[in-house]
Amino acid sequence: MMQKEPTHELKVWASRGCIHLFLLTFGFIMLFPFIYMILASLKNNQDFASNPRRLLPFTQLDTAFQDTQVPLYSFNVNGDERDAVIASGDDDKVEFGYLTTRVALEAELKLDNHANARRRPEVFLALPIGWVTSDGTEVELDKTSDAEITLSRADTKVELTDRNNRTNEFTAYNLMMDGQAQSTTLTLYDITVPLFAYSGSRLKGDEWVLVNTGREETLLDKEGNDRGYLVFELRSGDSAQELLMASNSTVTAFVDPEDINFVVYTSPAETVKAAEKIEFQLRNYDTVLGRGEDQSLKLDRPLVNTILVTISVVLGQIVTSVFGGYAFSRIDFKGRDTLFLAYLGSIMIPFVVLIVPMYKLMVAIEWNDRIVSLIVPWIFSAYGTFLMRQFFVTFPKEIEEAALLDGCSRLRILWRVFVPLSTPVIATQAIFTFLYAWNSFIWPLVIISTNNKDNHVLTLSLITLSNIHADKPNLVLTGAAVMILPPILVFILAQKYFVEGITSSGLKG
Amino acid sequence: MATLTKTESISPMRERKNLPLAIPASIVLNIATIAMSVLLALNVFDLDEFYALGDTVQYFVGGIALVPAVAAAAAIILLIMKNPNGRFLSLTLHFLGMTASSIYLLHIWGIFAGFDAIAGALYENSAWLWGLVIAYALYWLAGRLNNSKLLSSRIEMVAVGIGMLALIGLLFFGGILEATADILGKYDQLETWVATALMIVFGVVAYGMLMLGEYFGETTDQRTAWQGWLMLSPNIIGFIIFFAGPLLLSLYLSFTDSVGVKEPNFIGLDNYSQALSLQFTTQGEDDQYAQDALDAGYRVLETVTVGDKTTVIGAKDVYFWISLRNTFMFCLMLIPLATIPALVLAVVLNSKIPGMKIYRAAFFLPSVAAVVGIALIWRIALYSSSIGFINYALTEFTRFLNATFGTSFADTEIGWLSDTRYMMFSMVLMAAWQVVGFNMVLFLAGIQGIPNDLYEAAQVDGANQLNQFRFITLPQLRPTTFFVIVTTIINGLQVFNEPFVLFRGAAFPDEVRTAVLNLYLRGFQDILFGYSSALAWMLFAIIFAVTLIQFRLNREKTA
Repeated sequence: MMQKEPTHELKVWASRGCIHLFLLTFGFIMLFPFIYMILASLKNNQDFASNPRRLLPFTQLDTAFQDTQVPLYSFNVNGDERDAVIASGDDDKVEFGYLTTRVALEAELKLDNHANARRRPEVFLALPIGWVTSDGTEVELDKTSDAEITLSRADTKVELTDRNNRTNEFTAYNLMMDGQAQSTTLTLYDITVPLFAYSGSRLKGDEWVLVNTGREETLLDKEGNDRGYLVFELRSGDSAQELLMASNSTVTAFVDPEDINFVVYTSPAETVKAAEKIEFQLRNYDTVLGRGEDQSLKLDRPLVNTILVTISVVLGQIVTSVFGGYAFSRIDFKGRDTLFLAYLGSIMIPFVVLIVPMYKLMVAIEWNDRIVSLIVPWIFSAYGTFLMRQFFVTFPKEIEEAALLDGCSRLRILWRVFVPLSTPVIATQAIFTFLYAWNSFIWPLVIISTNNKDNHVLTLSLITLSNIHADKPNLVLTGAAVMILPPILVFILAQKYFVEGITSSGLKG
Repeated sequence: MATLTKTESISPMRERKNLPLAIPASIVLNIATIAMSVLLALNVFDLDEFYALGDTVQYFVGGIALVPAVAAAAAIILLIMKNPNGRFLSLTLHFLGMTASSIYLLHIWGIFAGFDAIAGALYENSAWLWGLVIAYALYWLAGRLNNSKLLSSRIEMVAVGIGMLALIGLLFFGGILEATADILGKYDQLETWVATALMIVFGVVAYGMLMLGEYFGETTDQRTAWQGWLMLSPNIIGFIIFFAGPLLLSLYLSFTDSVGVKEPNFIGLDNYSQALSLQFTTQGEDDQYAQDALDAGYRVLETVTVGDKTTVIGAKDVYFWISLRNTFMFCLMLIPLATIPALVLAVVLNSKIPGMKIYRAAFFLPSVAAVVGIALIWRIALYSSSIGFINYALTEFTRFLNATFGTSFADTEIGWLSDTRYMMFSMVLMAAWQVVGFNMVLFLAGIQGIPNDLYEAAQVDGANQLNQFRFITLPQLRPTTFFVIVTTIINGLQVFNEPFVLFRGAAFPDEVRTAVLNLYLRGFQDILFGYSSALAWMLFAIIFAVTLIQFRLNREKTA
C-alpha cells in the first residue's frame, strides 16, 4: 500500500502535465499571430526579414570606422568572435569566378534564366579572381593570366559559424601560383560562401592544379547568341578536366575595424552576422499614427473616426434596444407579439441582401462617403432588442404594478428600476456592438470611397496601408496592432460579459 | 386589477365639457398634413430621374407619400365624430410629423453631414480626449476603493471635474461656437423656419391630444398601448427605413437590369435564369474545343471525360457556379476544422484544471479581433512563401529530418497564397483558427449544462473517461453541436473578408471567389446592381434553407 500511493500520485501529475502541455501548445498556436504582431510592430524594416526568423526586435549596432559611423558585423572564425565592418575602398569588392563543366553550362543555357534565378546548379569550382588574405598578401588571378594554380590539402582545419549558428569544420588548402607558395589558406566551403568553393565531392585527391588555357569557347544561348567562355584545365594526379568560367560575381570584403589586415570575403547573408542589440522601435507607432516624417501612413484620423463611429453606434443601439426591449416585454398591447416575430425574423436576413439597396438609399439621401452612413443605419438592432427583451421578461410583474400605482411614469420605471438591474446584459450588448462596429468592413468598403481618406475607418485604412506599403511589413503590422489591440484590451477587461453573452444568447436563439 | 376598475368606473361618466382647443388644432394640422403629403407626392411624381430606381419605385414611394393624406382625412372625420380612433390616428400622424420635421431640421442644420466635421474636430483636439480617459479611469478607480468612503468620493469629484473640464475644452476648441453660429446662420432660409415651426406645432398639438385621454374615454389598455408604440417608435422607424424598405427595394432590383446610374428596366426572372442556366452537352467529333459544343452565351464550366465521351458543362455565368462551389468547399472544410478542435478543447478545459480561465481567454482571443487585421497578419507573418513562419517551420523540420535520419526530402517553398492548390485551404485554416475559440465557449457551456448525476451513474457502472465521453457527453451535446455547425455554415456561406484581404491584388483568383465576394465584385466593380441583388437573394435562399432545417430538427428534438 505504501508503495502504491506515490505511483498513483505520479500518474495524476503526469496526466495533468499532459493536459497542460496540450493546452499550452494550442494556446501558443492561438496566440502566436498576436505575439508576433506586437513584436514585429516593434521591429525595424531590416530586422523584419531576418533569416533565421526570430521574434524579438533587433537593431544593428554601429561603430566608428574611418571617421564615419558604419554598421557593425561580426564573424566567427576558428571560434574567434571578431568585429567586422564593410570595407569601403574601391578594391574591396572582389570578383569570384565560377567554373563549371561544359555539359552543365550548355544545359544551363537552355533554361530560362529568370525562372531559375535562385538556382546555380553544377558549379564545379568557384575561385576568387583576386583577394586579400588574412595576412594581407594580395593574390591576383586575372582572367587572362596563365599562372598555374595549385591547391593542396593542408593539415589545418577551419571552423566557420554561419548566421544560423551552425558551426562547420572545413579542410584548409594551401595555394601555390606557378609553384610559388602563397602564405594563404583557402577553405573549401559551400558555394554560397565563396571563400573558396566547390560543388559536391567531385574534387578527389589532395592536390589540384588549375591552369588557364588561354582558349575561349563559344556556346549558343537560348536566344541563339554567341557567348564566349574562358577555358581552364583542372589536373589532379593523372586526370585532367576542362572547366569553363561560367560567371563571376562580386563579393563584399569585411575588415576588422581594429585590425584592417584581417579581411574576409563573403556574402553578408552567410558567415558574417550583423552585430545586434535588442531595441524596441516604438517609433513605428509614431510613424503609423502620423507623427513621423512619412505622412503617407497616417492612421490617426481613421482611429478617431473609428472611435467616434463605435461609441455612437454603441450608445445609439443601447438606447433603442432598451426602449424596444422594454416595450416588447413589459407593455402588453395588441399586435405586439406579431410585431416582435417580424422583428425577430429580420435577424435571419443576411446583410448582403441589403447592401445594394442600402448603397442606393445612401446615395439618394446624399449620405454616401460620409461618416453618418456608418452610424445612423446601425443604431437600430433587432438582435439587441431581442437580447434586452429576453432579459426584461424575467423581471417579476409586481415591480411595475407597484411603481405604476405610486404614479411613476414608464420612463422613470425604466430608468430607475430596469436599467440599473440590467447592467450585465447592457454591458454584454455594448461589448458585442463595440466589436461589430469596430471590426466592420464590407459596409465601409462599399460606402466610403477610396479617395476620401478623411472619412476612412481603421479597417479601410489598413487595406490601403498594406497596399501602398507592401515593402514595409513591420509598419503594416503596427497598423494591424493599432486596430486589434483596443478590442483585445476590452476583452481582457470585460471577459466575463463575453462568455455570458455567448452562452446566454447564443444557445437560446 | 385595482387600477383597471377605477378607470372603467370613470369612463362611462364621460363629461362633455366645452370642446378642448387641441381638437380643432389637430383638425387644422391634419388639413395641413393632407396638403403637405399631396405636395410631397406630387413632387415625387414630378422627379425626372428617381435616383436611377425606375418608375415602379417612384410610383411606390409617391403612393406611400399619399398615405398620410388619406390617414389625415380619416382622422378629421373620426375626430368630428368624436371617435377615440380619431385621436389615435391624429396622435400617430402628429408624432410622425414631428419626427419627420425634426429629422428634416437636423438635416438642414447639417448635423448628419456634420459627423465628418465632428470627427475632424475630435481629431484636431484629440489631446482633450485624454482628459476624458483620465477622468473615467479615476472614476473607475474611486469605485474600487471600498474601504475609504471619503477618499473615494473626493477622487470621484476630481474625476468629474476633470471630465467636465475636458469636455468643455473639447467643445470649445472643437468649435462648438462656430457650429452654433453655423446652425443659427441656417435661419436666413425660409425652410429652416418652416421645419422648426412644424416640429413645434406637431409636438404641441400631439401633446395636447395626448392629454385628452379622459375626454375620449381612454381605457388603461389603450393608454398602455400608445405607451408601447411610442417606446417602439425609434425601432419601428429605423426598421422601416433601414431594413424593410431596402429589403423590398432589393427584391425589386433583382428583377431589373439596374446598372450604375441608368434607369432600370423590369426584366422578370432574367437575372436568376442568367445565373442558374446550365447546359450539358457532349463534345462532338467536329468540336475542336469544348467551347464549340456549347450554345452561344454559354461558357465552359467543366468538362468530364468518361471513356472516349467528353461531357461539357456550360454555364451562362461561370463565376456564379464557381463562387457557389468555392463557398460550399469552404463550409465543408471549415466544419470539421472549426468544430472538432473546439469540442476537444472544451472537454479538456471542463476537467476543472487550474488556469482554465486563462486558457479559455487565450483560445477566445482570435474571435475578438477584426478579420481584416488577422488576415494581414497571416498574409505577412505566416503565409508568405519567403518570410512566412509556416514555411520557415517546414524548412527547419525538413532540415532536421535530413540531418537526423539522413533522408533527403526536398525543401519545398509552398505558395500558400499563390499556389492555386493551397489557396482555399489557407483561407479555411485561418477562418477555423479564428472561430475555434468561440465554438469552444459554446461547447463548454453545453457541457456544463449536462446534469452531473449522469456521470456519477456512469462511474458507478464503471465506465471509463472515453466511454463517458462517447455515451454521455456526445449525445447530450447534440443540440449544441448542431447549433455550432449551423452557425458555422451560416457564417461560412457569407465569407467575404478573408478572401478579400488575403488575396487582394490585381484580380482575385477564381479559386477564392466566394459567393459574397462574387456578389460584391458584380455589384460594386461591374456595377451590375440588379444582377448583384439577384445573387444576394439566391444566397439568402440557401441560408434560409439551412436555418429552416435547423428549426425543423430542433423542433423534432424538443417535441
